[in-house]
Amino acid sequence: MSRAERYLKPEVIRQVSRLDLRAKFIVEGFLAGLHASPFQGFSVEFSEHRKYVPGDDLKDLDWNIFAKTDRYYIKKFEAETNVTGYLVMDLSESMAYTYRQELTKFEYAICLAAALGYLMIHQQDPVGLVTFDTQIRASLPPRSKRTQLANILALLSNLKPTGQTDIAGCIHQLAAMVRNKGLIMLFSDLLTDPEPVMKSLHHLRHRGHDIILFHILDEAEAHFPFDGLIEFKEVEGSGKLTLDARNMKGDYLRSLAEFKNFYKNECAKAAIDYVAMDTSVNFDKALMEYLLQRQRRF
Amino acid sequence: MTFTFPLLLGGLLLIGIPVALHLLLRQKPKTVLFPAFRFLVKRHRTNLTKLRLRHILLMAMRVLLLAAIVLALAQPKVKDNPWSLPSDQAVAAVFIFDTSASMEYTVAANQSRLKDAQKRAVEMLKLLPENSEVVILDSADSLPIGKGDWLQRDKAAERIGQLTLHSANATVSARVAAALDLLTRIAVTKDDSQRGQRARVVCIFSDRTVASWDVRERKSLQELANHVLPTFDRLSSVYSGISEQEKLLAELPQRLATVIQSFPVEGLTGALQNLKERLPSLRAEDYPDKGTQPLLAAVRGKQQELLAILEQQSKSVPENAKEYHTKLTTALQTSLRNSAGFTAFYVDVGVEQPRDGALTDFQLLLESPVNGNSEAQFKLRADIQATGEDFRSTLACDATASPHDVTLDVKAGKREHVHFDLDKSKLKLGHHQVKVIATPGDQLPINNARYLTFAFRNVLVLADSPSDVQVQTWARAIEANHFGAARYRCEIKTPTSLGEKAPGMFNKYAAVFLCALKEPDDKLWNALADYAGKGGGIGVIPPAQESNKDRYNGKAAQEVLPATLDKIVDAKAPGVDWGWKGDIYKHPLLHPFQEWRLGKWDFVEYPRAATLYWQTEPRKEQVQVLVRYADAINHPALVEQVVEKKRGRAGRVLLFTTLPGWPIWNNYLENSFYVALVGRTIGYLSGDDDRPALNFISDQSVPRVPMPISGQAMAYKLYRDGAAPPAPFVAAVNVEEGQNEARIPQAAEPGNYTLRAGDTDPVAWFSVNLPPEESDLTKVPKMEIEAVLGPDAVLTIEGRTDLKEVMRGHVSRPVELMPILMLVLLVLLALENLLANKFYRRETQQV
Repeated sequence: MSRAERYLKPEVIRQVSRLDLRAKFIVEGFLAGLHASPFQGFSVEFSEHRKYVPGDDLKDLDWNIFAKTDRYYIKKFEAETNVTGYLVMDLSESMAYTYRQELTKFEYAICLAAALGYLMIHQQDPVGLVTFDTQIRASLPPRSKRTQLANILALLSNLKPTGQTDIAGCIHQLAAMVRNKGLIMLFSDLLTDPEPVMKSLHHLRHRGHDIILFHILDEAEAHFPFDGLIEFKEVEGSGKLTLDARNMKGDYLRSLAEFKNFYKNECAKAAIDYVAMDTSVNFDKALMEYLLQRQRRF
Repeated sequence: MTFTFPLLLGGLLLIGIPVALHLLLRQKPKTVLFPAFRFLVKRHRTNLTKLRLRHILLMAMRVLLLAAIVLALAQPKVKDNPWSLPSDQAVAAVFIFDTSASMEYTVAANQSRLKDAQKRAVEMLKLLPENSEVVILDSADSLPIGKGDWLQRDKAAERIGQLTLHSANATVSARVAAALDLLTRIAVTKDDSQRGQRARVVCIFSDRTVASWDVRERKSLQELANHVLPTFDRLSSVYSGISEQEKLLAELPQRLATVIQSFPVEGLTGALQNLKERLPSLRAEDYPDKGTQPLLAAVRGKQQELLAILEQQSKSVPENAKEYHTKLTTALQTSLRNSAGFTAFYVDVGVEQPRDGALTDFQLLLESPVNGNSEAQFKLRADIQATGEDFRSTLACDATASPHDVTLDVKAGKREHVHFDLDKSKLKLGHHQVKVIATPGDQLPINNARYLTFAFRNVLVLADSPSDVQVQTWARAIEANHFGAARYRCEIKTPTSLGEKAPGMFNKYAAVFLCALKEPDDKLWNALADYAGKGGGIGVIPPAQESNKDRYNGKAAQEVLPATLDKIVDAKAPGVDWGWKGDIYKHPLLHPFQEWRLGKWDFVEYPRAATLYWQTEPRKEQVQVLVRYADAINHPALVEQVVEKKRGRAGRVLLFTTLPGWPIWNNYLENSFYVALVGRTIGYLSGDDDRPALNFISDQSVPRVPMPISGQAMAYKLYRDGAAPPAPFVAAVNVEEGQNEARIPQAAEPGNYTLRAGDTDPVAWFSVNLPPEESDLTKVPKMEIEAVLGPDAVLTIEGRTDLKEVMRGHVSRPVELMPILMLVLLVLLALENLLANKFYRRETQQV
């Protein structure tokens, strides 16, 4: 495993404190694993040169520049139709949860969002950021400048998940707010009633947006590793339950599967990409999903 | 259930440890924040119940585990049939042997039933646990049972080997009564022998013939059996069965209404309730107590009563009540078994299909002539019966009779008889002994011979004129009677023909009658007084003239007579009958009249009356007016004086107040009243009607033989089957002074016996025969025996070579529970581990 690939693992990326480095490591690791550069065939008009990096297609090599300078440069093309991306972050308190004291769901989501932002900026795609809890809290309009990444990372690193959430309401708000068609990437644990959320997603979809729904759960939520007598406390409420976890596991996982299946089926019907993830899953799954989505568009 | 190491049961307290741990160290749940809480809410209730159940299950498993360890270490044992013969703990046993004549029945290899019984008893002894004690009872014995009769098994085997057949025997049921009495006593005895705490066993070895078991004693035997208290460990099973019985009895009125008509069910339910209240409060150290015995006996008595009714009505039970009937019967039988104070086995060593030809009776008959020309003929009659198969027997009689022997065929189950004619001219006064033998022999030889002693006894009739018709009629009437084998020959004499009158002159007579003597002198009265004092019987017909009364009222006469004669009363025609009042029948002379008067006898239809009779004044001491006339004053009709003796039979003097058969005095002669009166009189005065004087049955009553009256103690020799040597000598018999009869217990075996004083002629003759019922080899129904001894008590041996085979299922063997408990222990251990691992496997990893 190359050093860059190692950073696709959440438990490794956790040890990196700076968010920009996290994003860099994740994306580079991802790209190194692809063995083919994602940066090709996206635009038809030449815009600039850039240095060759391993993995680039040799056909894009500018042999004239090589002849003159004896250096490898790749011809870059200006995209005629770029994808406008919106990273939409759920700030509910439940997103701050972690069982194994590694990455919280929120941190995982931030890493993912940062990596995607990093990737998109490098792709010349404009990308913006929206955060919400019970309402939309902060937003950065989409830009494709390199400075946009710094702005996004700065904002993400200062976010803290607290309090209740109203996913459905916020998505409705977002639908009203975003006029141009774009790619909405929603990061949430979706731990609320699914029907209103789906309704809001339909609303968003109705406005012509493409949606990637990153359903992020903690590893403990996804696999329910508890055993013995445990008192479970609600995060966003005051509910308590004392249960035999071993006995409950099956029932819990069934309920969770039903919940995820509901989103999966409904999203499929609405042509929304539903990506179920938990904090133990490598980041490349999310990045790949983005790239596939982008590829489908063009 | 018993334990080899009962003290280890204290370890059961350890089972409190898991319970205490469960309560004290109840797991505190770990608190975890969980955002996906909504998915847990739905099923948490079911989950919590399951969790608690698991904990309780695990705790129960650990409790059971500890209990199983402790129980296994204590090595428990249970008995497979608690009411059967114990095989591990010493018992107190009573063995009862039937040694009656029917036990002589022999099958192959000369094995008599008694020998077989002895063999089976020794086998049974081997089945008894070590240190058991046994009492051996012989049905021929009637001795009380003492402490010294308890024998160890080896001594008991010796005693069994010494048992022999006894013709003089009692029923087995009588000995069972004695055994039950013994068990009742030891059940309440607390002594060092610990017999009271031991299981009690009664074993009976008999051929189960009808003569061996008196079915009339069923009730009394049941009562005796019910008073034998069960051992303490049986009470728990008695208690546990009460509820089921109460439930079944509550349904009885609806299910079996006919039973209720003859059985008040409240009595049983009340008794059960009383027992139910008492049993839980009983403690082993206080048991046996006086209060429990009557309660148990009451319950058992009523259960037996109900069971008998259920058995009687078993064939008429409606179809829809049959199941209930079976259930109730089983519950009652089980309860009776559990509450029984003893376990009984009736080992039937008899033959199921016996074959026997038996002489059952041999007697002397006086047959009336067919036409009036010839005299009455004496005949000997022998009865023979066949059992099991047809018999061809030859009966030989040793009397001077014709024919001497007769061959006849007897069908199985039938009885035939043979007559042997006796030549009257050759029959002398005195005693005669005859024997009849059936040949060829069979498997029960003891009943192939029958013996008979009969006697022609002298009766003296004193009359002034022997040729008087009335006197002759009186004498003929006496001779027409017989009692048992005693017949009478009358000598009619005048007082003067007697010669010198002296004490002892009447000793040879069975009775003396004075027939209207005009002037009996004092010497005659003195001789008669001596005769009465020695137990003689005197009948006095008073004189026909008032002028003769002084001879009867004199001092010497009044030493004999019970009353003085006052005057002759003329009752005028039609005369007066006896006053037939109830209490007159209590006297043995008049007792048969009670039965006769219930029949249509001619003297009942046409009562006899006396027109003339003496008014008498009975003396007060030792005098009894037996019957009075039905006239206004109720004059005495028959007066009796009993002359008491220290030993032997009392003398009797009977005074008639009218002259029986004298036409002027009464019309007694005109119908059978006269014969009946004479018959009763001679029988009573001779003493022959109240004892079988010459022929005895070899039961347990000792032969009492009439002896010549003697003024001094005499030593006699007893011979059997012959009057003198070389006949077998049996025993010496001593008769004390003044005795007119001898008790001869030595004469137990069937045969003709004689008693001789030195070299003189025999002075007493008698015969002993088997009881005819001893030849009846019919079996007593099992039900009769099991009603007393409990269900399935009768074990049939026939054809079995080993008693063990018969006793299979009747011996309670302790079942060692330790191996089973060890298995349970392993299973519990595995389950506990499994459950514990399943419940707590991951907690240690995560918490």
